Amino acid sequence: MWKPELLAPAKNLERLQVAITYGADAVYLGGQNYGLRARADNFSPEELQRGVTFAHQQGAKVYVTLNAFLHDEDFSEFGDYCQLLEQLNVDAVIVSDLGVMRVIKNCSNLKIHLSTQASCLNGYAARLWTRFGVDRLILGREVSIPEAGQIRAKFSAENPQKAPLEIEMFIHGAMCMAYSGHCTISNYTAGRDSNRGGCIQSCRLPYQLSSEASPITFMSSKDLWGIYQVGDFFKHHICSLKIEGRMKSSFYVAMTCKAYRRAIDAYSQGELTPELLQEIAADLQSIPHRDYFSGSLETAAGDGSVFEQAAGNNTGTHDYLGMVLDTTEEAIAIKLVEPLSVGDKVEFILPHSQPINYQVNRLFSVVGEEINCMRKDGIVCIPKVPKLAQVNQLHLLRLSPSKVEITAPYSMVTGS
Amino acid sequence: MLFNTFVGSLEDLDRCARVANLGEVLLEPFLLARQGKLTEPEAFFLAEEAKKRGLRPVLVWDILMTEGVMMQIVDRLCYWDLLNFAAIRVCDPGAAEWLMVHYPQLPIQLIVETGNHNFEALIGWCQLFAGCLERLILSTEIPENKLIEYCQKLPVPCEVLGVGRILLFYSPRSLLAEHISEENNQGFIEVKAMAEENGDRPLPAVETHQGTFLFLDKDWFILDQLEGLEKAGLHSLRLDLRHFGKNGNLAPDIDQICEQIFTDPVTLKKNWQTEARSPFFKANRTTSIFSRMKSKSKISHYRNDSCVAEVLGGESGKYIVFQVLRPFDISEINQVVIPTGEKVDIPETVTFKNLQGDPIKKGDRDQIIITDWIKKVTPGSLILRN
Repeated sequence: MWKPELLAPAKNLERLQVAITYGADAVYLGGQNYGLRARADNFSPEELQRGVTFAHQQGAKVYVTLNAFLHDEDFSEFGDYCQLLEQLNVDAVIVSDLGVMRVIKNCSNLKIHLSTQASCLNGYAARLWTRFGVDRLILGREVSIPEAGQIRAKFSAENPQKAPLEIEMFIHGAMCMAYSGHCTISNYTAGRDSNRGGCIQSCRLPYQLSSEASPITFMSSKDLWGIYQVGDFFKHHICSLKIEGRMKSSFYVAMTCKAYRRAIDAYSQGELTPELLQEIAADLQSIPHRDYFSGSLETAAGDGSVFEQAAGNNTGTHDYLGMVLDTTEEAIAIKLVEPLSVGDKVEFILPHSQPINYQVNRLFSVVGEEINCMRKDGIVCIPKVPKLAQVNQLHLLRLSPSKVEITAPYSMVTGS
Repeated sequence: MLFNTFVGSLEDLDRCARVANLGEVLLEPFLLARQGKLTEPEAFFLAEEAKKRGLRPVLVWDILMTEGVMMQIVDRLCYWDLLNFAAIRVCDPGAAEWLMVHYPQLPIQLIVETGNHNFEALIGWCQLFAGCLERLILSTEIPENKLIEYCQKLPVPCEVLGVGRILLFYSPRSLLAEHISEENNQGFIEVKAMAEENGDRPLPAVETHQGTFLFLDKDWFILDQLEGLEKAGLHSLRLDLRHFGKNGNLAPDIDQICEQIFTDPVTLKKNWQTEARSPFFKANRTTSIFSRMKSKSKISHYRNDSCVAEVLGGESGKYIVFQVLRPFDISEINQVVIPTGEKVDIPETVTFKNLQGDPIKKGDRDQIIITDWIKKVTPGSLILRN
């Protein structure tokens, strides 16, 4: 059965590898310029080459974001960069700006995916962009799945001799409250171009609307999840389902990829039961997020789409603990993002099966010293007991919800 | 250079007709415009009346539309004779495409105020809508020198905002109605939104039936700096007075303002009803901060073929853990570059072991390797091949 592509964000090489390990069919990432995540690590050409090689070895694709709206002076080395991307065999570039697209077409044969920043919302806009020669449309997040289906159907009716229109939609992640590309709050209030990577997320701030009222986050959107609409994406042949979040953690990337991978595969086999959906939804609840809603996937987002909590994200049900760096026959080496102590209950998250619950009964340093705990950001080994036989490099761990807060972590430093 | 402005009444038209340089009026129907208040009959009536006064009536269709919304709108437009208007102003590329198919004889004024800050994009729009495109409406984020260049090089006339509110945010969602008491809600809500983190600037927020809009607290104003643009051949200058409108009028004092643009623009700015600025008119430096935002790594340029491993962690005085990036022989390496950029020699006495604790002579890709402690080496340091 046909299946849509699962497309995940990759802030860096680690996230790329995690995304693909946990089921992404493709990843999107930024180079060191021309994207919308100026603060992300972003890939150097050398890292990009490694990422493309890794992805292609696993049968996955790599799309590079070139979705900033550029000014004339930004173009000076742009053509060379496009040619480099072509040499590195990236599978497509994601672009918002018509000028950028024209330069790409003039200097390379790169495939072009129209970024959601271009706010392509309707069939006539789709017609325009395909007339120009884009290969895929990433629709604005205001478009419902049935509307996307209509856009696709209209294209096929008008172009019976052509391949069906490739339409990509967001299935998960943070949402702009404004039409993407139509917000310049950062530009005018902070001197940072939101459409060249400098968004300061002013929409998330609490604003006072009258002298009597308390400040409210009236422009802050809840987070999108499309887990209950997976079947609709199939029905309307949406070719790629995108997870937002190039600034998010490996935990987020792994859990979202695993969740949607399971849902897509189960649906394609007729096995996406309500019970399984509940289980997958619980996994998505485990990662840090704002309140979820289904965006405009079914009907236009309306009342109830505002995230009213002023301070940061909701906490998910679980905390990210770390990632497996390597394994031997005797040990599993883990890079921690939280402290770990003997006695802690952890869960190994495997890409294709249920998490393994495990209570840590022994801990070792990487040189074999037995220790009681390891600090945040440290590297630690646990014995590879038979229960953990399937655990492998790039697998992630989370803390069981019942973990007791460590108050006196083992005193270590990260360097001199 | 000609002026244009939004109108909502016969009084507005009369005032506009008294201005020699004002050749065009903008009509915003409820159905099509972000801040539209005119019914369909009112829009057509004002278009006819504008023509009688020698003014070109331009229909504003500046909303963005999802497929469902657009289909509803074009169904309604089938009953409108759009040729009653001299031109139509659109923002959604889909609307422009629809007009090119269904009304190829109707001139299009394309709003390219968000993004579209480069010549390639602007010339691209000219080519995509060749034959129909009457004008490009350019962004206030483009500095004057670039506006001058574009006016001279583009094959279609250009327009910029001369005075008016600066739109910061456009959402199709209803975001204010829920928070504003019912007696004030007549389908058009306006409040001031203040955020402590934003310095408590009172940003005007407007909700119409088309969505919610946020504006800058200071008006855009370049009426005192028009010489260069005029010489460059800027075709149109938009005077947006809608936020000063009352009782259905959208262009209060337009005749006096236009006169003062020529006689005393400095005083006009000084006496403007709100603070007035032209943020990016002289220069747009909104990316100058990026180099400071980006990662401060001083060693990223070492991440090439000579870089064979990266330090992941360690314990001071005990050991260092690193991951192999590309295969190498231990004999090939003798230096580590630490995040400050300093190069540190690897002591000859250092031994390299795998996770099992066995000494090794070479590293394989992605392998975890442990060495004795090397002073100064911290996570993120890179091992270099000789």
